Amino acid sequence: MPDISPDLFRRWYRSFEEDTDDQAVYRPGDFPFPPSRAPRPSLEFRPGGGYLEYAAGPADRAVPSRGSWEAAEGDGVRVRAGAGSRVLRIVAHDAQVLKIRK
Amino acid sequence: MDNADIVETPARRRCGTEDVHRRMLNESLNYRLNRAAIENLAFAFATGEEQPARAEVATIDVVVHIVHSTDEQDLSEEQIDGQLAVLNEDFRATNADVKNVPPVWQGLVADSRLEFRRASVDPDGNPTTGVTRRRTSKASFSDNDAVKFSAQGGTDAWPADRYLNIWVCRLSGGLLGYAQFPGGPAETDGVVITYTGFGTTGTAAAPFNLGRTTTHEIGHWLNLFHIGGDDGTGCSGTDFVADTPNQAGQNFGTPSFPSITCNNAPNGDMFMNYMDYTDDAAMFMFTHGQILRVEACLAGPRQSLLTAHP
Repeated sequence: MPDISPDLFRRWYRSFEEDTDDQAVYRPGDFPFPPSRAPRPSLEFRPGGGYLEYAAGPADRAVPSRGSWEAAEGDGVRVRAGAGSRVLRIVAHDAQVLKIRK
Repeated sequence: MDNADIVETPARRRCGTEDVHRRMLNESLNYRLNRAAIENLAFAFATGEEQPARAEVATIDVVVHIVHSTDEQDLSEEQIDGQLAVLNEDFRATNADVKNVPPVWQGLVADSRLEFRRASVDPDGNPTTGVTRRRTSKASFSDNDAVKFSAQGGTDAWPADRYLNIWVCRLSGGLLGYAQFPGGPAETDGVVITYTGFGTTGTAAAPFNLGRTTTHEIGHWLNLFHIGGDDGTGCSGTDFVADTPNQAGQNFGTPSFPSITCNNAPNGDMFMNYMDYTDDAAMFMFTHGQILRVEACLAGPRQSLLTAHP
């Protein structure tokens, strides 16, 4: 069981600039990202198992794929969105940052 | 008696949910039908079956909704005027940097014969400066359209058949702006620009301080697509415009000419087009083919904007 606190339940935007070799870093929307015409990929966990994955759309806003999340083994969270399913390994998260193993 | 209430309450809730569901399905179906009609008209213009009939320069009435959570975000009148001045250059091809278009494409530079001005009459018929301002408790807005509703901390749209709505706020996730294509719901119609990407002075910050984010988003609002074709970095996507070269993905920063992708040598990508993703200083043209799509849009879904005022 991953250690999940309510801090996880928000929309997280990829902060590529902060990635390390083995971790993908995500930040909440209010984080001072450098501005960009393209929307950053983002993902959103909701209490009760709802999950959304956002990708760039044709009018510069992100387009969500709706799905679900559930706890998996160890620090894993299985997410389903669109046609795919994968396991995210959450290394750490609080209200300011979410780190997922690459 | 109590039991009857208990049974009835969830029954009502199901009805409510069903209503919302039906409304969303209807809106989605309407949107798809609207989009098909709009693209059919654009295709008729592109093939010459329909011709632009508009003789004169048209002016679009604009309302700028400033939605601010700090004093800094409450942009000055000067900053708003600076943005409108940029639009009136870019859409008339009178921008000074149009001379930087590579010689091979100079002949493609197009004047949309569209101008923009602050609305002078509000939806109730009263005089207005064409600007609304409200303080909000929301530190930022995402791309979920909350900024377009007073009840969600934003400002309600003015009637989309008479005004171009431009919302300026702090967008979250670092997003510079986003738009709605023609054919969508009136209550969310318009463009949203982050306060650091609007105008040329005040809060506008380099490299997005020449007002081109608003030019780009209004391009979408007039039915233009990204010239990269919205298929990621593939070569099969299209912007449905014949005179923009096929190119892979969007470009960023300030590329050097030529930038070759998708076998488009020798001239490469038209990265200086307003519908690419380059920095403000690196984009400075629409093409004739793009403006033909704009003409189709003005003959179709946005026709009422041209006749909304004397």
